Amino acid sequence: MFLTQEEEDILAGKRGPGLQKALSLLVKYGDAFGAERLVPVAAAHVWAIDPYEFLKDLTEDVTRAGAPLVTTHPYTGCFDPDTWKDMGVPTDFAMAETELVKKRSPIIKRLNFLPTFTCLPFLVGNFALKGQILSWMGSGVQIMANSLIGARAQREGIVSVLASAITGKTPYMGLLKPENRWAQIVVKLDGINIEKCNEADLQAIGYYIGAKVGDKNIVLEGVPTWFSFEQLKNLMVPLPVSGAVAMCHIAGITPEAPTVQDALGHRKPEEEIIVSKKEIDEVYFEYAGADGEPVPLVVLGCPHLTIGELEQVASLIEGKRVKSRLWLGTAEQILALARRMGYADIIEKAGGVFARCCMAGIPFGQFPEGTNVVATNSIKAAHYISRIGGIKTIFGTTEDCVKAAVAGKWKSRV
Amino acid sequence: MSKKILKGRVINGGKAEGKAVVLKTPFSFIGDFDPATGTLTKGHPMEGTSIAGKILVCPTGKGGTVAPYIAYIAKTRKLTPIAILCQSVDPILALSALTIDIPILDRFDVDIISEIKTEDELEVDGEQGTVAICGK
Repeated sequence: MFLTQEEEDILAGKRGPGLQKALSLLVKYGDAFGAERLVPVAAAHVWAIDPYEFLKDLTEDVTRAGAPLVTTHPYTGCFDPDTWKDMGVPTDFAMAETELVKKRSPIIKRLNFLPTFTCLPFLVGNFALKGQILSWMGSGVQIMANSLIGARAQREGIVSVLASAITGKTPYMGLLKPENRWAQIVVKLDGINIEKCNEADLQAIGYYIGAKVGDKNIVLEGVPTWFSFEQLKNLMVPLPVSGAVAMCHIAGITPEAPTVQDALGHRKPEEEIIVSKKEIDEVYFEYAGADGEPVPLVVLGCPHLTIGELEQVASLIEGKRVKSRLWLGTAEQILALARRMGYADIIEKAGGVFARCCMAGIPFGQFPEGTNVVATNSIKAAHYISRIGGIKTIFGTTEDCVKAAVAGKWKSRV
Repeated sequence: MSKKILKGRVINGGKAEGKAVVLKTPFSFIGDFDPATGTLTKGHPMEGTSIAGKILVCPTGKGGTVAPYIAYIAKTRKLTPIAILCQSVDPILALSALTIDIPILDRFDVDIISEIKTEDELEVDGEQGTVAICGK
């Protein structure tokens, strides 16, 4: 790969060991994918809980982030330093996490990383623009940045985003290059009235498509251009859970794709895939709950709940009281807004607990005792919690989940 | 013993010798893998199979961006694969391998998923970009 004199100096260690390690990692990674050079990033979004030794290593002698703007992803492992007691998380585990937070915090502050602790950084100040190059972790925001905003985010993980935040650079490759962003596969809906689909149906559609198309770019036909951010989020976030999709064109919404033909770059698609109601039903079947099955824990907010979704939860739960534990993942900044609107108080009065943690990654922590089933309105959380935690997950609508939390048990719709 | 030599592209170098575990579906360290035991998780077609100390052969990567961390945690317990071979790797699986610094190769001259069988003895040479299947 071509390197500027400044980059050569960093690689030679002239600017300190942290920058050297971070840049060398990016060069190795870029070389592997045939990147010809490094380019500046407009913003980075990094993990909140990088292993301390790793974070210390990569930031040694670094005084400030190289990227102009850096935000942090949620806490992972059912832990929020403010609300873990109310979440019912075991004390020993929480104390150990608290110590780690204390060790990491000075580094994060020194580097000027903004402690946003959310998986939707563009809702809280990490505002992306069309054409900007981003180094963001979070498969959900990567696909949304590419497909809804027209910013450019490569599918990458916690290591490279931290290196990009520190150096301010990323290898120019993959989805950062316009020629790699065209759709390869056309996806059509058959016999599905998408306008009538609820939030769970939309996620089930995305989950099925992801497993079918792997890492290809797709164009999804039949999605109304008036769909809300939440509806589009529900369609897109599952695509890189069951699969590895990071670019989902929707004609009339994706800035690069006024039409399906534009999305395809005026080329013939490699394949066409049809989704029918049968495939949606299969997804529900995989994560079905039995009628009357006790549900000790209900989690909402993967990705983090928006202000609109918090309003919906508040209206469903107002005046009721939960029997199960109810955790709601959202950003602190969105929670402040929900408090102003009165939603937060309604939810807390009903027994809900807010947390700035990743609701899909909760099994990396320690569950409250007796948590053997988790119900969630997120297919992504259902997928990861069942696999990482080895415990049963039930997937349903927000209403199904709130009702289950109030009753303490699942109520089957069929 | 005879050996069949396959040629691929090196993403991270190094050498490894061991038994293959061949997956037919894309792999992620998050979701498919339990870093506490080094085995494939519940719901995986090969649930319970250990990939610790093995050479993982799979079509490509998939899934969430936290995967390199899971690989890192498994490494602290010495429970990771010792090399990864893919048909065509995705960036996150590549970064997972880079994080734990094990050889990772892809784009072979043959279809590795049908050519290599689970339990085959492999010699991975991440300097030459070759994989030898022993006994073939």
